[in-house]
Amino acid sequence: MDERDPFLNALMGEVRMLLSRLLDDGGPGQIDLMRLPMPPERRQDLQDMLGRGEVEITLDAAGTSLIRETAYAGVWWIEHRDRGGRMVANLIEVAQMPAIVPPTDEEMRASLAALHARDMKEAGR
Amino acid sequence: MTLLDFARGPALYWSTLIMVCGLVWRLAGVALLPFRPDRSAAGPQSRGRVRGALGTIVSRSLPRRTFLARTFATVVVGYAMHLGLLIILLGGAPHILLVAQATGLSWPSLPKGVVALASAVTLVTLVFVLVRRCTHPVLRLLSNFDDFLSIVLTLVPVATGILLAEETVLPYRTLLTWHILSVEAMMIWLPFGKLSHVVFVFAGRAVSGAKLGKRGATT
Amino acid sequence: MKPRDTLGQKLAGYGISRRALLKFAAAAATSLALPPGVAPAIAESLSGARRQSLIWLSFQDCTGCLESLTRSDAPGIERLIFDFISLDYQETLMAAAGAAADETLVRAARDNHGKYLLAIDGSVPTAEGGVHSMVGGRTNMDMLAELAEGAAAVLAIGTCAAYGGIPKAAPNPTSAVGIADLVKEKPIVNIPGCPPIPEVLTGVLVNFLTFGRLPDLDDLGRPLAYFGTTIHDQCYRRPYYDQGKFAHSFDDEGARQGWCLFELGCKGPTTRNACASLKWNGGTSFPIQSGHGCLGCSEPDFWDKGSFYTSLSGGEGPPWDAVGGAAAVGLGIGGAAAFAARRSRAAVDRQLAKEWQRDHGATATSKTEEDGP
Ligand code: SF4
Repeated sequence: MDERDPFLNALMGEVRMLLSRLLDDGGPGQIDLMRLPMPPERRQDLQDMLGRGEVEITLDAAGTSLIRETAYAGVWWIEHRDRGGRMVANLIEVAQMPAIVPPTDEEMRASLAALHARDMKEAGR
Repeated sequence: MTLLDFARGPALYWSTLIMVCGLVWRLAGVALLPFRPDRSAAGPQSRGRVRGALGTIVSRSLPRRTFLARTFATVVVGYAMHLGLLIILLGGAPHILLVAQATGLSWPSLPKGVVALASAVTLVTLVFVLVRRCTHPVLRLLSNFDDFLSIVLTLVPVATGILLAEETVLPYRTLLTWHILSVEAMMIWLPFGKLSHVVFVFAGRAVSGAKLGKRGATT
Repeated sequence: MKPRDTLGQKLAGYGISRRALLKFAAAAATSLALPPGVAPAIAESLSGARRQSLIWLSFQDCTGCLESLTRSDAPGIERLIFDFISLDYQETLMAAAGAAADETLVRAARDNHGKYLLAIDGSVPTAEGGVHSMVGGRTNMDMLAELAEGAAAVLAIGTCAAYGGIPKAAPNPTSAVGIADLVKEKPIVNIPGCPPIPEVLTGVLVNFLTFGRLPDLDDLGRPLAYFGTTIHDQCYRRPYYDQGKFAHSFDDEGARQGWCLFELGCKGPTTRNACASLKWNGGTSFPIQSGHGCLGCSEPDFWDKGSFYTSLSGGEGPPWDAVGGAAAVGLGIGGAAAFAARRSRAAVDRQLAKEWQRDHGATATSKTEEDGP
């Protein structure tokens, strides 16, 4: 498939729209690639179009997920896989940072409590 | 039972039986009529019965030069439509498959594009014929219910067939159902209305050709 | 409320993290064809939900559906759903038997009255008062009527439960019917397939846990997210169909090239299911990918729709005897008509001859008379 694939052009248009919305503070957006007609070649073409950025995150939760920045800052390529290595979700997320990455306050508070308990234990020793 | 099951089951069964029964009925009814002995003497230009019959089958299928200017459109439309139908019926892969699974006979199919083109031509000509029959004052006077029904019953299978082949507008299953049902409606009507020219057209020409040929009349 | 009561806490106890849950929610949103933006909401409501009670009854079935749903060996992320479900009664899977099992059922139905989900695989025989399939001395009809009454919704799992399936195939000796023929008052979702795709059950459960209701259904009661398109529309062999490239037998060049299986009886064009996109065995393959046409198993009465190997455009072939009979009848009518025409022609001829006789014959006679003497 060449650069003029109208489907991919439309998809890139949507990415652009989501990014400008994000900058206008319309919040993050996602595109579900699994529910789109994406034969492997087209998926590859899309990946080539988006390019690669500097950040790549591996997420290890009930299987390994790949979160990779594209050449366009704020546009992320996400592949969720289950423990069997099968892809269960494939998304483009337009956000400063994909929502799944940063820990929540609740989690950090739990960590703080755990660290605190550890200190107490050390101090008591 | 869904409508599709009905179309492919009892409807197909009965429409086939009705068509076969009707055609045999019509043919036998004519063929078993007493032949009026032709006592006329052979004329000086006589070509004999057989040559007359064969000649007329051909000559009546060709346009008359005298009337060509006036009938040109009709002739072209008629030929386009009938050739189109022939291409669809004999060249369309699903139709060949139908025959092959019923009888074991099979032949290579035409490319889908060719059949699609033929279908489009057929559809356009049928619509043209129908519209003309409705609008032309003389034709309208001459037409009866049979004429309109025969055209419509030919048109609908072509239209649904095109949609089916392109798989647009409606779901495949719906289109398949209506395509089959419309063909069955046509099959039921075929022996009884003007569509019976399928079997009578050449026989009719042959009979009058034989008569005229013997007398040596120019046809 | 005990601290472990909500799923978020319970999952944490099991070592299932928020991210794993988010991931599952993203997969569920994809699978349910929901916008990906709702994934966090799904995760949120799942982690806040109480364990959903599920009562599963097996009627006139072969247990293949249950096999399909429990036997996927890759610990797929879908399996997470079983952490949100309390399977309170399932004869094949539960350890209890006999009176103890019956007791479990009664207790589960009572404790969760009006709230439990009722899942059923297998059709319900109705002939002779339903005696053809009984559990613990009670007919399936009886159990269904009683347990459906207290259910929040009913899941008809597999083609037999959904539409009667194989037990209902002609001549249907037990007068088997699907669940929807008997249960009228409750929301029912059909998850047909012989067997059904496990991910579809997961999706329906997620939908119920998240939104508190069944997903949108098509006219045959199936979730649109999975049964919205035909196999044919998602089939990777579709380009060959469009180009008219067909395999003519299972061992010809076309079959080796992976061409379309339409001529070999593929029912993909009239079958709605998600096999072509979700696939089977953890996304490994599906029938057409393995070289066999679709049987149409998620459609009502698929067993009675002729051979699996007759193409959709072909029939079983004409009934030659009946066609011969019809021709004979036609010959009879036509012959009779011709005979009648001959008779009336002959009558007319006779009449004409008589008249001629009268007009001309009479004068001739008088002439002779005149000439006579
Ligand atoms: S193999 Fe079946 S589903 Fe696939 S394109 Fe051919 S007919 Fe359609």
